[in-house]
Amino acid sequence: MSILRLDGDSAFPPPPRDVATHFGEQSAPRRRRVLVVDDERLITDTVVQILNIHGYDAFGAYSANDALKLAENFLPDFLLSDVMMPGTNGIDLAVAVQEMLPTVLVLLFSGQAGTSQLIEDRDLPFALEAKPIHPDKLIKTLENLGRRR
Amino acid sequence: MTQGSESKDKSSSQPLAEVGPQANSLLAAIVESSDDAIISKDLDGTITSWNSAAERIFGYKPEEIIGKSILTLIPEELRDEEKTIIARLRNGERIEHFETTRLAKSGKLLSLSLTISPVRDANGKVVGASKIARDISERKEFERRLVETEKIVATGRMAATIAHEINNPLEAVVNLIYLARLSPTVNDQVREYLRLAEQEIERVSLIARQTLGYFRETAVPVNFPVSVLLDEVLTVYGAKLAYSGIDVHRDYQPAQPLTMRKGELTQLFSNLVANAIDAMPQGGDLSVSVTPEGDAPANGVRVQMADTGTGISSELLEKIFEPFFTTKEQRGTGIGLWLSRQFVEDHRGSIAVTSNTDAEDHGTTFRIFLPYENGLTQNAVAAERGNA
Repeated sequence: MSILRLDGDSAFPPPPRDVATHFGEQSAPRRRRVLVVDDERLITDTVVQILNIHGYDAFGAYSANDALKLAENFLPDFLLSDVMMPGTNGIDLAVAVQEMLPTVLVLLFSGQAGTSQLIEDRDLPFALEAKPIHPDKLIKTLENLGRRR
Repeated sequence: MTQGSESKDKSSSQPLAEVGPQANSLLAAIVESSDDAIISKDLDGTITSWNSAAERIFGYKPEEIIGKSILTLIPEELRDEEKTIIARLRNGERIEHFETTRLAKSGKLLSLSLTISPVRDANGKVVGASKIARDISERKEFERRLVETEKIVATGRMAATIAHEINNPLEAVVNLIYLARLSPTVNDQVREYLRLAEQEIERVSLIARQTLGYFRETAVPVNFPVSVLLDEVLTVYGAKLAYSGIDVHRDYQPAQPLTMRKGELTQLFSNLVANAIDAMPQGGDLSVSVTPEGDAPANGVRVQMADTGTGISSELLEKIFEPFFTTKEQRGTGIGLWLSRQFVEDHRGSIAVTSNTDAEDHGTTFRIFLPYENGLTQNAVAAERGNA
């Protein structure tokens, strides 16, 4: 399984504590879990790192299949997934994860315009952002999504 | 090739003079009734004969042009061609199906295919040339339109692919810059550089978003008959259909014109015709019909397009409007029919498909209904579109 936690990765040393507090993200008693899925590993890895800095408990997967297996044990609060991936696409993944974990909140991000139509067509309760999404905006979007719950 | 050459001057009418005056006038009649322009000239490039097709194609009467230079017919920028042609003729070479541009009397440029043969005297010496010019403007126009349609389709596909290939690396770069800025070892100056880099990346993202969104038409809707639109598409694919051995049967009932985004519906019907061609590699029949259904605004036009191709099995048929689904492993992108359905729905219409894979009776039929009242007005400002 191609899952990588970046906390120990030397290329991206975890930021010291004060950087995280500098951003004012007070960790909740239980850190909210985000499952990040993108076949572009660099995107998965950097997003996981950014989310961890901002007080989330993020985990990455490089394919929908890996993500689905991982979701069973990781029990994410959020699924943040790319749409166009080899094999199962992000929309079908999100549907499957939501079936397993009905409370999971879904944020899709896509490099291809026009994806919104796909979601509207099927009337799915997923949020969508276009790539590239600035990390500040990503954090804000997740916050808003969490508040809606 | 003059008519009354009584062999007084054998060299000028060689070798026709040998066959006698009767045969000569028969040949002259053939030349006159030819659909292709047949012109003769001497080696100085002076025009010496001019048939009626030449008059029709170029617009000059024989008395206006005989005795004039052949350069009259050649656009200025192509006049060097004549030197090459004369040189090759002097060597006794024949020039076949040379596609070039010539100038009509009206100033219009003509696409022509030229076959030029040397004319020899009794001693075998080249004394002039006969030139057969076929007007290929129409064929060129078809080719141009086919290329244009294919370009539109290809551009849409390319834009989608490029958007994906640009936005993903951008996403990674934005994240990396962000992480770099957070690093405690980065000093204020470097942090400022990174902030500027981030700003520049933002510009690139904006451009990518504005230009590479799905290929959606922003043009103002027009009032246009569906049958004419279908014929335009069939004309563009005419050569491909004929080449594939597909017979087209059209059955158009008179129907009101429709307010439409012409580009979208052109792409819709082009997709369906292209799919039909792919489904009938061994040839077959493509039946296209247009039937009006009432005159009230809620009524509309029904278009049916039926092929006798291999057909689609029922489990695949359920999926053909799904994005990224394709039955054409190598060539398909899986967005053609999905996009087609969106175009139909943009016109508040509906599209349905039935298919048969029986050995005896096979083929696929698309039925499209387009209502007259579709929310489009010809004056509508289409500004809100294009940001899919």
